[in-house]
Amino acid sequence: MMGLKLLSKKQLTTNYIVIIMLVVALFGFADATFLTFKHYSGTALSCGVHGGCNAVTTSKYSTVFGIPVALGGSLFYLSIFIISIAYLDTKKGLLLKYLTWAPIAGLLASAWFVYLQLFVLHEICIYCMGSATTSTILFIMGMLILYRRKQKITKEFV
Amino acid sequence: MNKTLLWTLVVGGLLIMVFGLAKLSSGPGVVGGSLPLAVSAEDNYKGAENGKVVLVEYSDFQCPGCAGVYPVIKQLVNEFPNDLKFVYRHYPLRQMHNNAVSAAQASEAAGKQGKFWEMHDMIFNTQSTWENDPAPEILFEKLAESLGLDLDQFESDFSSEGVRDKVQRDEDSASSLSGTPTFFLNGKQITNPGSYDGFKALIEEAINN
Repeated sequence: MMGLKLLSKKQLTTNYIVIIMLVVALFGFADATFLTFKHYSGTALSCGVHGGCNAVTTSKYSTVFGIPVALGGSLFYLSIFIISIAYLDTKKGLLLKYLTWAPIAGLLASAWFVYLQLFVLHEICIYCMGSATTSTILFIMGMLILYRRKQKITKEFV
Repeated sequence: MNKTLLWTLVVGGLLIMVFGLAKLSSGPGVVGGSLPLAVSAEDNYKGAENGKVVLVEYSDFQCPGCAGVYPVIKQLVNEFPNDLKFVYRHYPLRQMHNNAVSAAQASEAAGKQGKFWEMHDMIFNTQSTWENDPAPEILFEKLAESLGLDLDQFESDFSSEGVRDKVQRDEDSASSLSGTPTFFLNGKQITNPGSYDGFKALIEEAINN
């Protein structure tokens, strides 16, 4: 009885984490999709105070093999969003694994882009920093899921 | 919840969102604000003196976006020799770009000897060489030398009150602007179209109006 109660509480917490991921991924998707449209329409962004955001979004680092990195971000967030809903619907462990590990790729990509902005381009793009924030939150949530799962496994074996 | 309904809602919601973002990102070219200081004889201009279309740029020699857009502007001035007057104004972002003021002064000092635009081009072309240079003046002098300028004159003009005041005058007028490059087309602020074709379309529209 105790074990069952504990499990359902864990499940509830995981659900909350996934719901947070779903919302954050939606924000990230909106941000990255906006940048992707801006890239293809060739129109400038409004950058805010002393912003050099266009220098960032039009730099040589903004595309990889001709594909805008914003599009990659957009697809990444979309996958997190869809998989989150699919997990909440089906509760399949495989989907939870994706939500745990995929954000690591997002975090690494964001770290690279933040490095480029601070140390190579010397310009900050607020939209790109927004994406770095959302991918960092997703990474933390992914690690929380991992922590919870590990905790659960340990408890089951004790 | 019914699976079909759930996924229909998700896909439908996403489509509406993507459509909205597409609309938002293709926003209008004009962003409001008026040119803070009227174009005068003091300004550095290129192209048609009495051109129907006046494009003013607030720019910082150390800003990568400004260096990126400069060849586009050059091409536009050649494309519309009878209709376009391009005015370059200084907006050195001092907190971020240590060498921006020196670069602006170097261009104005060259301007005193009638070679503002030649220096302007060279400064942008060599941006990566001097942007982190602790003493960019040495390179600017070399550029002046390669342009055949009188170096003593260049040196004294570089730090003269007249040149400093000119840069300051532009900078003061830019205080309400959010960054560089900022463009004004016939006195109205426009969003940087970002591409040659984007600029060309806006200029053609202004010529035909």
